[in-house]
Amino acid sequence: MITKNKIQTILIVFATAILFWILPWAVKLGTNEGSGYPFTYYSCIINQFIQTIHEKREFKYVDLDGNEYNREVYDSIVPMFNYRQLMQDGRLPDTINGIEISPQILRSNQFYFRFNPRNYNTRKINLYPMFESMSGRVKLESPDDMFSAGNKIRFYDAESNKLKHKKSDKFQTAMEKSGFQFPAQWISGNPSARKPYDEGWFMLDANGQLYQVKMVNGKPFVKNTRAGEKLNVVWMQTIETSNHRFYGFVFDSEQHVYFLSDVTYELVKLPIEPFDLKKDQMLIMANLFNWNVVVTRDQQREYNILDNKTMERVDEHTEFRKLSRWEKIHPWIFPFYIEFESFKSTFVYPRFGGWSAKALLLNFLIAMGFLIYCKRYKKLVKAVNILFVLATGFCGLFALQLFKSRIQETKNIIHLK
Amino acid sequence: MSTVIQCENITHYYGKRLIYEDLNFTVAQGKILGLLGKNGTGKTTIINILNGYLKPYSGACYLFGEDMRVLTPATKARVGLLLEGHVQHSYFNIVQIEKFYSRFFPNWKSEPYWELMNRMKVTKKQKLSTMSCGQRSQVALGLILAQNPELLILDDFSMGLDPGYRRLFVDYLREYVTTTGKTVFLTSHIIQDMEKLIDEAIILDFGKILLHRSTKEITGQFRRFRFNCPHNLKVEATDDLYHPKVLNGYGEVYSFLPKQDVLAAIKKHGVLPTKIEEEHLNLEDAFIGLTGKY
Amino acid sequence: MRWLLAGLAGVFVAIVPYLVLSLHSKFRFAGKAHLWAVIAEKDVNMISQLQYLPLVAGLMLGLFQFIPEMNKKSFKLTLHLPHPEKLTVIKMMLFGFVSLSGIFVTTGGLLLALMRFSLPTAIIGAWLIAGLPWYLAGLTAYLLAAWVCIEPSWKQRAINGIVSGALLAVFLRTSGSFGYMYFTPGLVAVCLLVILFPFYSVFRFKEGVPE
Repeated sequence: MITKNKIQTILIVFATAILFWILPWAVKLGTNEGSGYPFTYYSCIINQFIQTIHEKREFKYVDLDGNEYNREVYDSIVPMFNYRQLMQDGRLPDTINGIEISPQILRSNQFYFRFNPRNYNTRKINLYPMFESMSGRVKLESPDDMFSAGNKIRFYDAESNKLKHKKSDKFQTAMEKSGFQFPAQWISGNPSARKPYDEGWFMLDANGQLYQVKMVNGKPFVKNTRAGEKLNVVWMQTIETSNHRFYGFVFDSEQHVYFLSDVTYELVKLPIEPFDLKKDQMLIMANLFNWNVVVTRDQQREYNILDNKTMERVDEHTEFRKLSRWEKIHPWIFPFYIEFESFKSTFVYPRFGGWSAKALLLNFLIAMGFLIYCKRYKKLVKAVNILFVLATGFCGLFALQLFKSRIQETKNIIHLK
Repeated sequence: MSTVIQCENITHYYGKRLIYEDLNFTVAQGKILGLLGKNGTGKTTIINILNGYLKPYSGACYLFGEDMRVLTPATKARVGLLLEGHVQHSYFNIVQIEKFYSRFFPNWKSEPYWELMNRMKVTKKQKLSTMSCGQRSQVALGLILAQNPELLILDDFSMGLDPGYRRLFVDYLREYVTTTGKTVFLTSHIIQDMEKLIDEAIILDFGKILLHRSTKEITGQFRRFRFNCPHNLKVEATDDLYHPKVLNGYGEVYSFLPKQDVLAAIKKHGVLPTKIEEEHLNLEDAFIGLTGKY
Repeated sequence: MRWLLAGLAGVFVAIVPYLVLSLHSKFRFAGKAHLWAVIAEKDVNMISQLQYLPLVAGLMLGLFQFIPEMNKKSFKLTLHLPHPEKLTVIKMMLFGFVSLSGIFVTTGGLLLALMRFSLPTAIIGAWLIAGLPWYLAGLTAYLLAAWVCIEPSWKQRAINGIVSGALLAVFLRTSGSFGYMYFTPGLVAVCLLVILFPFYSVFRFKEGVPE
């Protein structure tokens, strides 16, 4: 039966939830700060981490021992990052660590790879371009059709919006022949034509096998990378590098990260700590000598230096983040908070976070204050309301006030017939 | 004769201000009862309580034996309601509103409604919101007559009406009610109109019912007495002497008692008037006499 | 009310050819293949102009329907009708809810059906998922408008209005196609729960809460 008290309860719960969303958002808006990690790049000259610190409107370049370098010296000891500046100044050496270098060699060995949990915690429109991988042209040409892969692979002509039966059947047959089990769990690749070359798409089939699918001279090229036989593939993110060394990075269920080698599909594991792709971020700044693999977690940033050739970890460093003002304040104020968005995901839904027992102390004070106020002014107070305030603090108290019955105590109850 | 309206121990506050405490009254079937009272004594409040639009602090009212908090649709169909200010769904025109209401009432009779509507100088497509107060009151009256309810509750039916529309309203209502034996419960500030209509009057004072008697009794027995009062002695009010006043050697008092008894009561205060005149009152003067001028 | 409904339906119907012609115009300028690629790669939504329209329609319908009811408290007359009160209120809300739903479903369906001639199911499906929260926002806005209008006290109306604004903001956090994919059932639940809110105002109206 619809009663006023039941609806009032629902309203109070709704209002409390809204307050647990809006009030923490407002407090965060006023207190939030950046992560504060300095930019760090490994020097292949002195084999040290060099940090760029912004202080008093100036940049300082320091190593972990506290030695400070001026700008020119910094350029020289971090040549892999600053080679363009060195070139312009005429200071680029002919060799570094006994290896002959030139801008072309440096460029071809350099790449940047970024991974954010949003890359994984998202969903894209199931429509992708299948480029011609061996067009013979310098630039890739956008195709006049696009494909989707679910229970089947289907190509659609953009001009007529009709299914291209022949092409679809060709690819479907090729994929089935190679053992691909539909439906595809996901498709990974670069849909942009503005890339140096195309290696097609990597698809995880229903059995967890990772396939490469591309179009070569108009014909389907489908191959099982066999990565799924060695590990439980969760995700792959592709990248095009100048030296064609690998197709991309593969993430498995054990929280390991591998790169998938070009042609051979050999999996090479990155010797870093377990990486949770739902929460952690990764930035790889690679050069001729080493890879700066930067993993950012909730409270820390790990710098792993891997040898470019052997992939062994040659150095590492961890920076711990100071808590921001928001992170120091909110556990004392809110027992939890609600957020609908996250920078780690493109999905919108209520997320309950920031659980803190410390806020119960404030909640206790608020509940006691509420009780004393009600007793002093002879207002009716229910035990369930006190408990509610104890659990929810001033968000709950505020919600109770927003929807309290203002009519004096009465012996009459209204019904709706 | 059965009881149509019954209010038991109604107590109500607006904030901390007491409106009435333990108010009790009944209205029997076939009676036309007027609720009189100064502004702020709770006339509209009791109408709202009766119809379930106001929750009293305590107590209950019954319409046709049903608790006002849970009036069934069948009971509502037996009650014709006129809200203060002749409030209607003003976005309708006279055709639409008649059609709208007729669907809800099984005893609906369109003839009395259209008889009234044909007197008005309005087009059929004219919305109620564009009509004058008097025209809206006619529409409201017409709808009530068409509904043919057993009980009519009219809250300040004369509000905002000029003498012509007031007369029309009273004449129509009186004829309708007396020929059909309906029960009416009404309020108004224009007591002359009430006098032509009502059988009984309840006079509300602040916090309680001052009087509940037939209009015949009130106008027949309640009188004003004027007397000379040497030495400007004071006469105190009692249960029988209402609002005594002495000014410049002359006194005035109201009472239901006969002249001799009034004189005796005055003398008890040490006042020895040599002259006393009695005056019969109409309902309005009787009301002022009972409730006081200010 | 009829004219308002006709007007709202007219706006929703009129926007269909506008969006379709707009899409075809973009096709002519950019080429279909290129536009498909941009839509898919960057998750561009070519019907995002619709985003706030259902919300505005719901608010307008709610205000137009229930403000006259509260004019001089003529809602008393509605409640006095010899008809179960709960059913009266339900029918009033059902009228607006069903009318809005009809407009949304018909014009939304028409739009997607027409776009189906030029766009593949993958894109149409994505835009449908993106659009559902907008239409739910419209229906919820209608119910919240009823809740605010029927409330007798001005102070509480203001509170209800602020809470309504915050609640509606939940429906419009993103314009990305799949952003609400997991929370759409939650939004439906919120919309259904909000049906109860106007009854709270009716209870307060019947109690005679002062203005």
